[in-house]
Amino acid sequence: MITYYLKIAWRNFKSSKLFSLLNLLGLSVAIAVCIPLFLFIGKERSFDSGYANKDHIYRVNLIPHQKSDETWGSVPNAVAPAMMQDIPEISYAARMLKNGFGTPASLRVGQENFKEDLLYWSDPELFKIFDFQFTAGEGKNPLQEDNAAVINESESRRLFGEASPLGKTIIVDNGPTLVVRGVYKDLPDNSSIDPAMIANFKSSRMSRSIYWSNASYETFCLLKPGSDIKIVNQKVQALTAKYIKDPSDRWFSLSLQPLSEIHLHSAQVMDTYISRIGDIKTVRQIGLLGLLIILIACINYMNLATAKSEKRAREVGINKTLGATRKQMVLRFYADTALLAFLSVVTGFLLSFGSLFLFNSISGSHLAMTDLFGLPTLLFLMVIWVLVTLLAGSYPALLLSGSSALQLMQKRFHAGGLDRVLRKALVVVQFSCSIVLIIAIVIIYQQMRFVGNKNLGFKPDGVLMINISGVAKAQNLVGFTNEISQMPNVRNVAFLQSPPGFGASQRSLHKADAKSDLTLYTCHADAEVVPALGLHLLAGQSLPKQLAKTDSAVYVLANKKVVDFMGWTPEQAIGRKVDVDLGENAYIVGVVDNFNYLSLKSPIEPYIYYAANDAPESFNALMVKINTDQLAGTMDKIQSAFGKDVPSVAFDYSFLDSHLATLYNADRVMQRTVLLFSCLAIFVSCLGLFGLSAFMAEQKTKEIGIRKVLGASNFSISRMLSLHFLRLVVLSIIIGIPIAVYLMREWLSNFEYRIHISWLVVALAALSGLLIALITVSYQSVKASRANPVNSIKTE
Amino acid sequence: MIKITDLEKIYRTDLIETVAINKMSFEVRQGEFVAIMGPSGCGKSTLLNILGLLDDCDGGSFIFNGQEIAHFNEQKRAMLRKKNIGFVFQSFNLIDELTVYENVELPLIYNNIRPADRKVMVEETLEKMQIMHRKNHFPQQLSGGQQQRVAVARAVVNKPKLILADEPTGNLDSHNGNEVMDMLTSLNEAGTTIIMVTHSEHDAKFSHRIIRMLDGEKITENILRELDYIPDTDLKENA
Repeated sequence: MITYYLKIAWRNFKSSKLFSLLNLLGLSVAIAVCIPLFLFIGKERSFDSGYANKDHIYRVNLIPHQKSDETWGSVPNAVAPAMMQDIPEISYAARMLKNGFGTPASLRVGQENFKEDLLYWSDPELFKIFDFQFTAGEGKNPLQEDNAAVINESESRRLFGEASPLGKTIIVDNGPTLVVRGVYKDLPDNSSIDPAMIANFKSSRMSRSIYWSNASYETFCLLKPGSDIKIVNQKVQALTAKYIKDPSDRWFSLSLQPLSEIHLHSAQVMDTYISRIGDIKTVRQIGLLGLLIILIACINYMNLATAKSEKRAREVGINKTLGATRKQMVLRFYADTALLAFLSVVTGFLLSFGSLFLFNSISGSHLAMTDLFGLPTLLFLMVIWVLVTLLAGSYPALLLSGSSALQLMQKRFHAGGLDRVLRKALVVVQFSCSIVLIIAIVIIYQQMRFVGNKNLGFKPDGVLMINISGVAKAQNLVGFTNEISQMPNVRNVAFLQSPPGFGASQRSLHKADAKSDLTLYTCHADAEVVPALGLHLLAGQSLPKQLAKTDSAVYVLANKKVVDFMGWTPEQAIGRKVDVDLGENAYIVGVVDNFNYLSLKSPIEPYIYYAANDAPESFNALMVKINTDQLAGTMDKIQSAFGKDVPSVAFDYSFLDSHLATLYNADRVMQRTVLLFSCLAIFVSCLGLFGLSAFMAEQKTKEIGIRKVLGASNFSISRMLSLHFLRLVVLSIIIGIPIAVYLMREWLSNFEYRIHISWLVVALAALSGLLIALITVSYQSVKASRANPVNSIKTE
Repeated sequence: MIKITDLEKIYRTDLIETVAINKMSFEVRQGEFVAIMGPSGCGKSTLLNILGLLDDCDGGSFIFNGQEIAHFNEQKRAMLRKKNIGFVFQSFNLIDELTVYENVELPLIYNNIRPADRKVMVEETLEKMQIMHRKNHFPQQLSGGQQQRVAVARAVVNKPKLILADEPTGNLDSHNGNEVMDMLTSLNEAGTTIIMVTHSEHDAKFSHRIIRMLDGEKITENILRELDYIPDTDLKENA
């Protein structure tokens, strides 16, 4: 029986070439798109699942009392030792501090310098919490000595080639000398933590004092099996009360986050060194988009199948007359769909090699081609096959099999008009989705352009950032800065604690009559910061160029937010004293206009640049404003001067505008993903519309012939046929616009600075959808209208 | 074999009620060849649909092989139909996607006949209908006469007790029409009961009896020749 069903399904497939190919193409494209999405979702969900202790590992998060809607992924360095000491349920706790609070390290190995982004300072307990696989050296207790370090295999090859790194030394940022005591296998790329090198925390200068104030240490702990997380959480929260004696210094509370939630539920967590952050919302959106495109392809199948049902009815009627039962007929139609779905799955699988490459390039993912041959992919394809068969095949199977043989064999069978209503409804659903996607593309594009063109309050273009955290003292750079300042294409050279977009120190601005302090960001800088960043001075002047050695004052360049809080005009602020936790002699010397030093998703915050002798923060970056006309030549000269003047530090540079662009990477990925999905969804919808219009033109052949005999023009015929579909598309626009506007408002609400949705733009986007539909159906309409009426009338 | 008494079929819409069959009664004995004639719209096809268990009736009695089936639901009617009745249609109603062989095989598949037996039965029938040489062709590749031959082969392959033919020569020229009628006659002579709806007086003359209808009622019944052999014990018992 099955053979018979498959045989007839195959012949049906061959006999209706156009419909079969349209369906095959639509479903294959949909499946090809869904495969990388499935792999992406699978990878996102698999994060950290490879660790043996995964169910008992937690990260300690911090919630600042002043901003209780914020969660930080790092805590003070006193937390881990206190947890180990006070909480019996904790087996181990370890701190992870990224070198220079996230600034790349300069490693000196022999006579060579290397830049290292992934150097962490950590406690030996880290290796009890996470399982590292050591391939060389001491695996059990690799950080036994204070100056011990371990590196991964890639790092070993990069720094030492094929030679054994064990016992070799590495000098970090011209400071501590570390000895390599072990080599571990690279952690998989679905691990949240990603160190290439781990050094003993005790060698870090940050280990010299243990405090409860500065929260810069990502801290992980391992709970004993069977521990009650609620009780442990209460004990963790109790630590601040015990160790911070002065209640006014208890500015935060602590909580534990399971390792399994870190990757997908930490998108809003700030101050974390983990860069491999996913977002459950993205995973859901991607999953939804995948389902949507499969649904659109299934709708195509259902539409074309119901359109063909009038033709197929007679065949079913004959079968029923000859004794076929309803069940047999249902199976018969499902066999039809199953065959097509199977061919689509195979074609989709072959196409997925291309779609995977495309997906990797637009999303920046690294999904492997070999994953396509894994068991999960195979199972996914089988599920898709069954799902598409059941979903797409349901309507023709249940509609036709449920009718009586006599009804089916009538010349013009239709299921009481239900099939036509359903067909129209499905077209409307399809095109509503397409309209939503078209509007989304336009609005996302507009917003990203707005972000790109927005005046940030400073000028990031042509600003070269050179990492100097590895230079022991800024004075060592005098030769270098003097040399590059002479270069014709170098305009300004400024020293900074951290460039815009890299964060800064947080302090409090105190005001005598204010109810509470204002959290503000501070950045150690020099006089050149104003011209180098193109800041707009509102009053006063930039920071002083030179400070006398005995000068104990702190010179402050504040943004307008600061003086607004203090209740001064910019002019009034000059020369005033401010209390910003930088000593008693902090004076405002200049006021600059507000600027966005983070992404436009965040509001402008109060910010000061300061200059002082013995500043608590050192200079980590050199900002060089250059003329980009002869960029390559200028860069060569700067690099060679750096190599000559600072031979012990790796030349690590980037451009400020490029870095700021990375803050919108996730949005740009979304922009490209929506664009791709939209194009595919519209393409698949158009395939369906094309098929339906072809079917309708064929069905109306006789009517067209009669109308032409009665005097109808080609234009009026093609208009009649096109209008039938365009009415549905207009209805889709009416449904799609409010949905699109709602969704886009939600998305735009992520941005502090955003465009207003223009109704004109929405209307134009919707009209373009209409135009696409018109072009799709007009081919068939015009073709049908130009047919010879004599032939048309003969047809039936 | 068949006995209908006061059979009624009424089509109702919101506005009108049309009596398609109006208290019609007659009998058909096993082995008989009955022609039903009448003008278009007189209810011939409706009657044939009811007799073929494709449609139900609204009143009266319908005894088939000694069993009252007027109240049977679609499922029971389908079971009875596939075991006992073969159909020949004016428009052949072959399935375009199946070859001649496969079209003829179809009723056997639905009757769960084993593949080996199916092969024997199909080939035997195709031989008998002299269409064996075309067994791998598709319906579109055959002439009208050949297609109707295949339709007859499909109707008889399952050796049904009753064949219902709805204007079997309506789409054929006289030569092919005569061939089909010869085929039906020989099937009848071999013992198959045949009820045929036709407009053709020529075709009707092949039957034993002609029932003439008008406006859903039987108006005359002419016996053309006597049935030589009456093996219908069920009918006698129910008579």
